[in-house]
Amino acid sequence: MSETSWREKLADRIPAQWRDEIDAFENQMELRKQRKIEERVFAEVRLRRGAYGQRYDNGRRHDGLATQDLAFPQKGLTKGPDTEWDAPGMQRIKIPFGRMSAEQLEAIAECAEEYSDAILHVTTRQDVQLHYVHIEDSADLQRRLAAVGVTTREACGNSVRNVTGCPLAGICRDEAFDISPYAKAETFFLLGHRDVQDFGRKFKIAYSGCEQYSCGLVTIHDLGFVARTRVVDGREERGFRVVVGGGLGPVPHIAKDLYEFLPEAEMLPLSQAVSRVYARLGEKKNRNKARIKFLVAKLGIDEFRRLVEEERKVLEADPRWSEWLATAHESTIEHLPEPASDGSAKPAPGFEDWRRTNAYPQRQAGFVAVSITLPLGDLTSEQGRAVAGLIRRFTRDALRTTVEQNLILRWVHEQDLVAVYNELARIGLNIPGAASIVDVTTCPGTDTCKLGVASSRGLAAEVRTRLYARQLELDADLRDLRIKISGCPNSCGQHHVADIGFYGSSRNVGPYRVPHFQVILGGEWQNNGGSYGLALGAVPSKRIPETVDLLLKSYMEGRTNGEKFRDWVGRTGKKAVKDLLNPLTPVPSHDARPDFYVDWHDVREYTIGDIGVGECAGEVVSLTEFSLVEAESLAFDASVLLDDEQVVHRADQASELAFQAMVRAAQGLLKLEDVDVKVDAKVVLPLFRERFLDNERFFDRFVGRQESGYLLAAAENGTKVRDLDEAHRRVEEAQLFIEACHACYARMMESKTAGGALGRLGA
Amino acid sequence: MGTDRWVVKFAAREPERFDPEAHIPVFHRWIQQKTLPLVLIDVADYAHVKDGPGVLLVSHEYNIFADRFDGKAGLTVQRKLRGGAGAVSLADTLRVGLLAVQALTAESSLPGSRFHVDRVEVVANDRLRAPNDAEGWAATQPALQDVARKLYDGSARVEREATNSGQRLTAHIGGNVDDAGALLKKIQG
Ligand code: HEM
Ligand code: SF4
Repeated sequence: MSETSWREKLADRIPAQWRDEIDAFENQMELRKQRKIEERVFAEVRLRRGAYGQRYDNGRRHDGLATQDLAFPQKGLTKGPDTEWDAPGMQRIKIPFGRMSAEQLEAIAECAEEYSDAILHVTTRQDVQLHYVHIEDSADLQRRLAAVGVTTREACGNSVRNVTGCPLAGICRDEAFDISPYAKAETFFLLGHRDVQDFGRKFKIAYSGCEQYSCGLVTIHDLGFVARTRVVDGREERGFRVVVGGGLGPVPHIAKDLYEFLPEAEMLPLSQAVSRVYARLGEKKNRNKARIKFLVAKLGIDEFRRLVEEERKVLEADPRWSEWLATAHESTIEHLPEPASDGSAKPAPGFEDWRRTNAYPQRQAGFVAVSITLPLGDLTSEQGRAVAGLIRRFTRDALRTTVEQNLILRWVHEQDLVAVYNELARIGLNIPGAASIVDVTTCPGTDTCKLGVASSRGLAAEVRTRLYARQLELDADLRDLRIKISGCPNSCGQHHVADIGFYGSSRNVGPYRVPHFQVILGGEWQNNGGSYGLALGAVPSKRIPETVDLLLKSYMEGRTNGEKFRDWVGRTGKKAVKDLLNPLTPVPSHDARPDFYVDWHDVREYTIGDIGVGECAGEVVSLTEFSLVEAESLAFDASVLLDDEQVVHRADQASELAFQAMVRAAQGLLKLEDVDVKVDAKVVLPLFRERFLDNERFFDRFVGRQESGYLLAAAENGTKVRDLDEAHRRVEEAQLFIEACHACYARMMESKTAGGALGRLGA
Repeated sequence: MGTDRWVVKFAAREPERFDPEAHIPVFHRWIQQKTLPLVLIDVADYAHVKDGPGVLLVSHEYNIFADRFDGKAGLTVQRKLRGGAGAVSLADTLRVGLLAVQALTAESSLPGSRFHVDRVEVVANDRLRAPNDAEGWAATQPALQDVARKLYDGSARVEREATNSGQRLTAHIGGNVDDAGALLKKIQG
């Protein structure tokens, strides 16, 4: 059989730009292995491809007795500070507003099987994550996804993360209109946009179809859009309430109103203007203050709005702002013309209970949307393929993931509901109670996250098993409550907007550590995450299930007619609720209850020694550094071409690539001065000459003068070469020029820290 | 050439007694004691998903599952390493699998973790180099036969399993030896 690679096999199926990006990433990996890219810079490059670090990736792990060194083979080779090259990592896969086709789901399932552990994990940001992936598999993994239209670009790192949106969009009974085309336009407009590359932290955007429910949770986002319509001169106009500066994390902020009504045509330019203001004025040094919420809070929303409006005025018009609008109002009705089954099937056991919690009658008569409850957000590759089969057999629409870590199959003919249920029962996914009290949300916690303090997944597994046993999903009074758990204060499990939320913390008891969870009560899931709960103090992890029981019991006994849980918490008061929990807080002695000193679903004595430095934060890497990395990657491509005897015009092509590499590096230096130019030799060269050569800034005693000559000569004489030898020289010259750019950059940064003010980096 | 990514599975002898979660403490102890010649990293619990990975012992080189993939109880070993394509990597995978089978057999707390070794499921975990079609089978079969003969001598059997096109190329190898120690000697020798 011919030995091809995924790279060759899929070359024609991947959009050219995505293909080049993944190829470049692969080169960058190679360069990092040769230690030609700094580890800090490579880390951010990698994060922007969604390839994350995972627990123990510093090569050390507490095994319950002692901290062991993990003897990875390429010891000392790192993919980021304190991150071993060979340590397994997580690959995050962007699923814009959670929409996934059957083909895409199958591709992810295949990757999970071949590169991961056959588990697809759905996250609270509607993404899918694969764990225990080796970085050297990540480029092929990304290619296979790109071939079906899925990108991992900017799935992590300091950029625009996945754009989330209500999973019921288009079929919801309450929405103003279907936000799907809007969320999609936003995703692909901002993906890789140059105005979103220079943030101090991540940036999260969400779309909601209505004000009152929760599916989009816009108020906990950096930028949020709530669908609204208004009538002007008898015509209905579409637009959005826009909010900005929300976000959870250790210090949660509710987003502030930026506009009551923003016309739909303004959506993309507004997003661009907000991004530019954030990139320019957001904090870059202190990561803990770098989210946009801190900027909005510092400036005040009115001043922030003024700055956005100023920015909006000077934006260069972009045809992409409005192109997508031509089809935005098309309906997304996508169902099979006829039911796929004759409706005579006998339902498998449990159908009626499941239907009550997991079937949602669509706005469109005759159709239902089906929630597929995923325990802890997980499904297997085989289940993934079976669900893809369901999408194909029963619908024409795609599937959606939800922020409660489930899947929703839309546009099922009512007549097919039993057949769908029976199929779900066959694969073990006919679990009732979707988006109810039993459907506990949880982040990965200590299972795989470097920042995890306590085992949120272990606890969630325990709590949901107990609540299911009591059939609480069937109890109308309690069903709609939400329980959400994070492994640390960072809120990935969104505990602030749960009725009952927990986050991991640790307490010392004598010489021991004991896993605990902070209890947060009375957050609001409705109204787009309308308000955040109150912290009541920490309870030992082993007593959290009892804590849940006690809270539910006290609420049922103490509430007045029809009172909601959060109203009961508010009326009872923080102090009184805390008093209720007080008996649960003491930790028994180590001799009496050793199990208190071991976390859920673990057997090792508890320690926090495994906590690492989170990568969610990413590294703050300047645009110049990114350009230099790209330049090196192009030069690398050129040198690889030289070795490839199959390529006919390799000398010319290599020489051309070498030139492109120099242009890219020069453009990177210009970015230092806040000069944002296209990577086009005609534009870059004159500016580079003016700002770096004429004033001799590019030169020092040892490097620069000769190297800049390589660029100028190539620009003047063209890139055509006589033979391979000459091409070789060109490639070497390019590498020397890039080195000189690095040196120049380093000098300028030094003089900057020594007091010289330098454009935007100093701001 | 063919693939270097294999998955092998040994079926549990008494599936009804097999309990993935009982492996959690055992796998943790293996990490402490470096029981297998691998860079052992962590234990992951997937007992909450049906017909799935059960409990996973993660190493740098292999994933080792006390699993219920496809509803069948067993011990699955997934090779993650690259290199040594074909029979070499398959033999390596089987060696690690047999070591794990032996080590589990020695665990008195796990009476349900005894496995058949006279019939092993082998999956080519590589849709590029071993696609689930005739060509893929032609590329894969020599390695399977080679390794089967090495293990089971004259009684060696190789059968392809009928799986659908979305699934990976799957076969069974086997023969008249049902003793992990004996097989290990052959594969190491
Ligand atoms: C690899 C492990 C992860 C690390 C190191 C990590 C780190 C963090 C950090 C530091 C924050 C606080 C952000 C801030 O205030 O600026 C945060 C927030 C958050 N993360 Fe993660 N995270 C990880 C995985 C996840 C996963 C798996 C999910 C989804 C299940 C997730 C979803 C969220 C959400 C929803 C928030 C809060 C929302 C917000 O502030 O916008 N994270 N994470
Ligand atoms: S909340 Fe903490 S433990 Fe959980 S994923 Fe986020 S950073 Fe990790």
